[in-house]
Amino acid sequence: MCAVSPAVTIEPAISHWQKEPSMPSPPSLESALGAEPPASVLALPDGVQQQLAAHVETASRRQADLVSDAVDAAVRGVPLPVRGVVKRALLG
Amino acid sequence: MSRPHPGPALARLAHVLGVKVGDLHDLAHLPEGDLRALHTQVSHRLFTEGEHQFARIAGLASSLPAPMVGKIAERFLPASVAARAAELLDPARARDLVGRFSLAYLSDVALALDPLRSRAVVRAIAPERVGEIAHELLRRGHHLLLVDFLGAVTPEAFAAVLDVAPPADLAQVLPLLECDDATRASFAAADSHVRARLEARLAQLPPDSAAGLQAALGLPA
Repeated sequence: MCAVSPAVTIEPAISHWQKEPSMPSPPSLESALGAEPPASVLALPDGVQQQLAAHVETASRRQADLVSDAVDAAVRGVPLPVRGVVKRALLG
Repeated sequence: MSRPHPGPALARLAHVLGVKVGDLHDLAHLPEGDLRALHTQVSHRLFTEGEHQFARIAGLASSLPAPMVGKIAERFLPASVAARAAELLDPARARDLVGRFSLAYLSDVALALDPLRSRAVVRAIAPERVGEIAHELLRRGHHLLLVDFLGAVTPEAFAAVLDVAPPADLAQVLPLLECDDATRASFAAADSHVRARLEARLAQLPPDSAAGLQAALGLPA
């Protein structure tokens, strides 16, 4: 047995875009990745690929928020003697 | 309904996406190699779109005194962001900084490291520190995510892991390890003392738990 438990809540692999036809089209998986996915991934149902693309976009937004928040917090929070150095290094 | 048991690549993909392994259950039947390729594509996208900032953070970490970097990073830098910056560090600098972080933070960073981009940095970490990280990740139950980390370490660090990790945990992790050419070459070049340590520790594990690994590394069963 491995330690990562598979016993988690499984959401249906249907994105909210499928449920709301009036919403703009979701990005394709290839667009989200910036590369052509492996053939076995491209063979997955459209809904699964769209869900995966949505996960990638969410991860991207989360990372951008994390970096932005961390830079802001560091510039404001480091001790005064190094604040200028940190600000120049992180913000240019 | 039974589902395929998740492997290291699916766990790694879920981790980089910030979702649970179960959220990717529709991918669980895909070949491990394709899941690794997919992880690489996701990781590459996330890295490239933030690379400018990661490089700035790495530059700052290279210019300030190491003790100060340790304090600033743990206070302000989420582990996933620190991991991206660490992948850009000079390995010698990374080795120095590793000693400045708490084990908890360092283990979080290790979990987030990309197995391909971080190889040189991981191999620069002192063997005893690698053993501590591995022990901590096993304690937390991150067996699947430890697989890629172990695949990058030096033979000396691998021996340190075998010294400290519980045999029952190793019996879960070691069969999942895949040795690439670089790993096989580094084990082949390990000195006789390290090889003897590895052979002795692997021989103490439950039967068959490390047979594939021993064969891949050219170690006697």
